[in-house]
Amino acid sequence: MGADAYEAEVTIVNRLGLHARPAAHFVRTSSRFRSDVYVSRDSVEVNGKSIMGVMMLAAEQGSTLRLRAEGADAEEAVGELAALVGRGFDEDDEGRPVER
Amino acid sequence: MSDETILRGLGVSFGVAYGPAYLIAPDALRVPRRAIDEKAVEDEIARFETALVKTRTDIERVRRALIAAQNPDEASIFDSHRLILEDAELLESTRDLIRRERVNAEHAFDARVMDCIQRLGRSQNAYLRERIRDIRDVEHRVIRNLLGEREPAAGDLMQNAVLVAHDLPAALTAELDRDRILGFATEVGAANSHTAILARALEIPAVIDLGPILSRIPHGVPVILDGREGLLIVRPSEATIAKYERVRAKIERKRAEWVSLADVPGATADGHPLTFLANIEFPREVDAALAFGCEGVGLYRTEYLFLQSGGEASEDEQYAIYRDVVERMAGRPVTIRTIDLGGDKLLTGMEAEENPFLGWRAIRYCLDRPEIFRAQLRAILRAGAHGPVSVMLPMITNLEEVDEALEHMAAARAALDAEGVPHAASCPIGVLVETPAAALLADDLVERFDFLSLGTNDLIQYTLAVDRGNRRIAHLFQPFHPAILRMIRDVAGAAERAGVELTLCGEMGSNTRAAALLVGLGLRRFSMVAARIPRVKQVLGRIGLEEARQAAQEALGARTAKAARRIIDERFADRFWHAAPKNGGRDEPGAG
Repeated sequence: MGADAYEAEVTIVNRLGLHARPAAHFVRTSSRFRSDVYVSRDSVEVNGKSIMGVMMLAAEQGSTLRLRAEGADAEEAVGELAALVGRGFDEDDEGRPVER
Repeated sequence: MSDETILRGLGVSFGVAYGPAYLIAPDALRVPRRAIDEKAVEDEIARFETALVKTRTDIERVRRALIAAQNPDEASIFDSHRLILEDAELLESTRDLIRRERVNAEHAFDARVMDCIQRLGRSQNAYLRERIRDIRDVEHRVIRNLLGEREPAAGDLMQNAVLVAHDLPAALTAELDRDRILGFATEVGAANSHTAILARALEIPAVIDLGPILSRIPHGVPVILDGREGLLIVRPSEATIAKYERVRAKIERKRAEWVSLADVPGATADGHPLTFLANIEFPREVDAALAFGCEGVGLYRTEYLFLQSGGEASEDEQYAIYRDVVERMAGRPVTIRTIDLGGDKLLTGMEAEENPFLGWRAIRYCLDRPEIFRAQLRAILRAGAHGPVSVMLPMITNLEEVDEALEHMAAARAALDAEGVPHAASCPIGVLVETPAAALLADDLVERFDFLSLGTNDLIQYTLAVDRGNRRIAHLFQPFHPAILRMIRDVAGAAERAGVELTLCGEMGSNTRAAALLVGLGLRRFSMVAARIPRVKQVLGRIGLEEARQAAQEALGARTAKAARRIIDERFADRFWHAAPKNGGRDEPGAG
């Protein structure tokens, strides 16, 4: 198994930031991949499959996160997670889910 | 000396209750610390795993109850709760701690959760509070399970207590049970919310809109809840307790008297028969409805079923529940309203709309989702094999909808015939007249349908363009408005000319003054919250048909709702109460 590693830098765009529901959405998505996923903000890096970790980042709107994945499907993992963050976790300004 | 405190709110369900306050506000949790014998470490970890499984089940149950209670938004919060509970790092570090320090699971889990919360707490982010609350909520559930304590939502803990909460948790709405809960008091809430209506149906005293009270009431302190006056009395004095004991006894006597009236046939003073039916939402309401003397179900709301199962109530599931209601009613007719979803009752996947009451709801939704509509019609027809049922279509505004709905009905029946599935030999179908359009089309509707029902709650809202949930304009929600009275007169006239049965199933019928007027406008059949039947039956039994007609005639000519109401008040003042009501008719819910 090739230990591929991929990284991407993303910016939180949704108004409420990475609060409980987006964090849940993020973790559900990252957990679908076999690769290990890490997320870091400033000097703090957390396990991207741990909701406690992701929430710990307390990432509000405008903050920059670095996504890193290691494993066979690392590229897809980073791609999909970056897209999810970029879409603002499919929620509106009030934190309600919106149709894609 | 007494430190009795009286808090004022809005009484939404009558009756009084006296018992300990059960606060629904998880806060401090007592976490014991114990050393664990080295040999018992793996057992301790097993105990932790068992508590996790149990908590997962609990969370799932609450999540389902929230969906059932029409609260998909809050239900989704429990998705994150579940993820917290499954968080590999948190769980693994807890197991580590149990092994390394040989401490009990409660302590280890609490310590790990506290680490997380402290790290979160150091950040200045405003949304952290929400996250900390989520984490604490999950923690409390796990620790309660480890300690072998029951969830408050499970009911037993608050046996014979008065629930005090910010808003009644939707999860509890679904579990409300008169045998377990004395009553409830909330800081916020609306008089016509689902919860309030259910509380009235189940005869659970309730006071809402008390403002910020949670911090002022210690858990377990004795309280009196007065659903008539809208009071919550904290630490009542001996004298107050004695007074309320008398009130409670009086209410019980009254109830017994009313229940004893159950078998008295409904009629005007001069012997014209009146029919009283019950509005229900749950099969478990049937027994109370019968005790109050309903002669059938005039409005069986079915939305709950769909919200309960997340939108996928199968034909067979529906059939089983409808059949249960039909069988419990033992030969009395049951009118089932097809799903009235949309508006303020959304399924997951239904979008919140800008203007939901004018949006994709009720019959509009059903006709766009024929598979759902067809399944419901089939389930109703099949239940009809066990007793008389009829189908009522909500929110009709034009005849195309009527034709289309009738085609579905015919097709559902034909399919059951072809499949050889037993179903109702006859199943009348009718319209719930609740839009001005339907009221104005009454002459056309009576040609196509077996019966009409008047849904006055929505009819008033749509005709007067008033959202009655909006406090600033709630006073404009006027059942006695001349436009409403004339509309009802015309619908009653159309039904009478065609010889089609007409039933009123809005809350207006449960208001004795309005009911007196409605008899004069031509109504003979009323469907309402069952607990109101004896009272309305009693008052209408004191009024003759001819005098009701004259009063209605005069009220129809009134310029304002106030004037129309005054006419009824003056004409029938002596019929409404045994003694003069000291609070000007506070006993009247609904169309006051």
